[in-house]
Order: sequence, then structure tokens, then C-alpha cells
Amino acid sequence: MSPIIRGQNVVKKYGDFTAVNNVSFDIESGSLFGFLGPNGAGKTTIMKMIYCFVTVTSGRLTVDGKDVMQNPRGVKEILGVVPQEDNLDPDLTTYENLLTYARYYGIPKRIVARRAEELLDFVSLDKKDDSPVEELSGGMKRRLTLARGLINEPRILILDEPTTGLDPQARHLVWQKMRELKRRGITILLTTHYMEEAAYLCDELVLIDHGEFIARGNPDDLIKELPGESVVELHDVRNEDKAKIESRLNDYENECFGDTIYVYADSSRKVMDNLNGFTFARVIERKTNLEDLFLRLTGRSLRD
Amino acid sequence: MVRVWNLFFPNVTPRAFTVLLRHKEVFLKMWKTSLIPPFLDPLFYLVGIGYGLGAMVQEVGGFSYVQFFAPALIASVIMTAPFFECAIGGYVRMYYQKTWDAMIATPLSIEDVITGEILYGAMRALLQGVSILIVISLFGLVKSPLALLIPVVCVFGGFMFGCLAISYISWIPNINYVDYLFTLIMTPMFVFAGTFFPISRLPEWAQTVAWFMPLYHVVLICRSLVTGIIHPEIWGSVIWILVVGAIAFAIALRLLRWRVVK
Repeated sequence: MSPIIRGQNVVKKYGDFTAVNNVSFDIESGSLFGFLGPNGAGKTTIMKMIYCFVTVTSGRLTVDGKDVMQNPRGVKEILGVVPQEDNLDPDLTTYENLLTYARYYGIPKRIVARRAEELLDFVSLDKKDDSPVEELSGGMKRRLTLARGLINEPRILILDEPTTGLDPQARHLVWQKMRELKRRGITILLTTHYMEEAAYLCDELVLIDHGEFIARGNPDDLIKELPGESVVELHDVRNEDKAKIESRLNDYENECFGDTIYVYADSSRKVMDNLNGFTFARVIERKTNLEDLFLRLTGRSLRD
Repeated sequence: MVRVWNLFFPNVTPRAFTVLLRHKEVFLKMWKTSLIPPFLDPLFYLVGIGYGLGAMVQEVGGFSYVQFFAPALIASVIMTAPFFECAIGGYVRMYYQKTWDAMIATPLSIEDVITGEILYGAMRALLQGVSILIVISLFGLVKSPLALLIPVVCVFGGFMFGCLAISYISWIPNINYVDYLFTLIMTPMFVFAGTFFPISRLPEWAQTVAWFMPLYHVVLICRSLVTGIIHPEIWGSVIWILVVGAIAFAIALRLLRWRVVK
């Protein structure tokens, strides 16, 4: 299978600031591909280059063989976009939002009416078709934006942080819809900073930091790069104890961040055997996940 | 032909009309609130200034004052309607509502979107200009069938003013700066561009300045068409509006691409 989206040495600069630094990627048709990273890592910028909203400074980016800089209309015809910021038309109702948007694509009227109804049904907004957009809740707005992104029956759907700020019910609904769309053969690009979301949904993903890819692959394979399958978290470690504790854990990979020590080990009991005489507010034993990998690769310090 | 068009007005396609249709739909939802104030405004001017103040004023160039002043009211809304729509409405849709962002994720180009905005400004000018034409004809102030050409002036004049207003918002950092467009550009034109009094009353240097005001030419044309007495400069003014309109359009497209697509 040939890739439907291909980036070759893609660079995006805003003045002196390099938002995306020389990244290359291939996205297979029909896959669910994730871009993960902290805020400001460059995920959204990559999405915006793909849907021709920002220019590519250098390198080459093609969608279905069409260059985003040479043929933006051709690219946008086959894309559906669910941007991070809600930009539904607040002057129109739910249903009108879909009709008006369809007209921008030049979709014939008779097709649109049926499709709009199907889509409102798909995102469970069929009872809200006459509501002004302003009256919808945050979750409903997201779902309407998703329906709007599907009005042109896109081959590729771009979801830029689709679940940020949603409650658990709404988030699960969005996830369910994504899997359903994937089954229909739509290629889905997802950005998120929720690692569990990415691990749960993506066939393949890249981890981005400071505009560069720091890891890529299948989420299960990526987690195997960690030193173990489990982590023991020791909470509320006192500063004066840290050095002593770490010296007793020489057999294990471990990291300290703030008041917590993360030990890569299979059993908390084995770890605790080494730590006689210390007490902790809480000891948690859990499976390693993408977040551990991400924090290991990027450091645990706060991003702005 | 297509190549020349693309050179001056790149990426503008008939899809721009889909943007105009969106504005039409929104307008039809709230036309009662958004049409009546700008319609009443000139009516007050007509009665207050045209008849009230005009009663104390001698004839102007062979016309009664109200006859002189009434056509200028049409010209003034050809300016103010697109100024309000393209500057305030445009800024809100560009910056606050992100309506343009949503539009350009579809096959619409930013140039299509801007063209749709400007066309809508021109339509607002048409609607308000024609309303005033009807009002002043009820007062018996329309003297010539040439006034039937006023709608054409509304569209072309409104288009030109729309281009100017939308160009202005491309470089302002926030919406408060729209006030400067109104205070420094719109109001001086409204007062000095031959609307309330002929520019021959101005010192010579100011007459030159007035000639560079787009409104001056629109006033001249409206007055000629409403009174049927064709001012000798009118052809020059027609060309002036067409040329400045085309240049302003080409500039507006480039400025807004620069502002929106980073």
C-alpha cells in the first residue's frame, strides 16, 4: 500500500522560531495515525500544513499525491477537518451549519439534505437540528464539528485534539465514532496530549517534542522500549531520603520527579524488600504506558 | 483573459458566491434589526438637515438645499454600509468567530472568502442605497429617470468601499482600532466630500484632497443621476471608482492572505 499522506523534510518557521523541524513521515491509507506531544510541540502546526491553513517553509508535503502548496483546493476537497478551536458558525443553527458548509464544497442540494440528516443522527444530534449553535454544550459542539467535517465524505479526517475539555461520556462517544469511521476505510489523523487515548486508538503514532519526532511506531511496540513492563510509584518521598532510597534501588531503573520515585520493576513487594525502614504515603504498582515513555524521552519538567 | 485576472485577483473563483449566500441567510434571519437603524439614520438627516437647516440656506448651484443634499445621503450609505459590514462584521468573523478559518478548511481560498465579504458589503450598500432612493422619491426629490442607475452605483461604489474597509482590518491588532477608520476616514469624507456643501467652498488645497476621497466621486454621480443635471466631471468619476475599486480589490486580497494564512 502506498502512503496517502507523505511529508519529506518538512519545516515550518514563524520568523526565527522553528515550529516544525525537518520531519518526514508516511501515513498509510486507512490507518489511524497519531501525533502526540505536549502543548507547543508542533502537532497542530503539522495538521494545519496538511489542511493548507499555514504554508510549508521548506520540504514537501503531499496528500493523495497532491502538493499542499501547489494544489490546496485539490487537497482540501478530500479532507475533513475538526480543528482544535470550535469554529462553528454561531449565526446559524445546527442543521444550517451543515448545509452552509456543504455549499462551500459545492455539494448538490438534494444530496446534502439527506447526508446532513444522516450525520446528525450519526453524532446523536438529530433532536437538535433547529438549535442555535450557541445553545449547544461543549460536547455537542464537538460532535457537530465532527459531523461538519464529514459532510464532504472525506477520505482523510483530521482531528486536532478532539477530546480536550470533554467529559468522560462525550470522550467515549468521540472514540467510538472514530473507530466506526476507521472501519469505513477513512484515514484518520489524530493529535492529542492524552497518551492513553493515543495508545488506545492509534495504529501508528509519532511522539513530538520541540518540533521534532522523538519516537515513532505502533503503541505496543513503543512501550516495549521501556526497561520493564511495570512501574512502581513511590509517593511522598522526603527530600532528605531520596539519595538513600535511590542507592538501595541500584538493581532497578528508576527516576525521581518531585516527591515521587518511579521504579521499573515487576513487583512492588520486591522493591519494598529493598526499602526496609522507609514508609511512603502510597505505593502504586501498575503497567508501564506511553506516558512513561514520553516523560522518559522528554523529561518531566513542565512545558509552557 | 483568465491569466490576466489571476495576475491581479489570484485564487478568486465563483465559489465566492457561496460565502455571499451564507451572509444572505444570516441577514434574512435578522434583517429587521439590522436594516432599520441604518435606514432611519439618513431619514433623520434628510428631515433635520435637508429641510430644517436647509430652510435657512439659500440655493446651492441652482438647487434647493434639500435637493442638493438628498442624493448625497444615498452616496453616504454606499460608504457607511460596507464600512460597518466589512470592518466590524469582517473583524468579528475573522478574529472572534473564526468563521473564515472554518471556510478556508474547505476548497474555498481566503481570496474567495474575502471576495464574498466584499460582495456582501456591496449588497448592503445596494439595499440601503435603494431604500433611501425610495424615501427621497416619496419626498419628490428624484427629478430624473437616470436615478434608475443608482443601484449600479451602489454595487460598484459599495464594492470599492468594502475593499477599503477589509484592507484596513488586515493590519489592526484589535477591534478598537476600527474606531480610527470611522473617525479619521469615514467622518471626514461624510462631512467634506461635497455632501453637505459643494467642495468649491473649500480652500484650493482642500479641494485637491477632496478629489482623492472616494466618496466625492460617488456623491457627484448620485447627484447627477437624481437631479438629471449631469456634472461634466461625472465620466472621470466613473473611471475613478472603477480603477480605485480594482486596485483596492487587488490590495485587499493580498493583505488578507498575509493576515490570515501564516
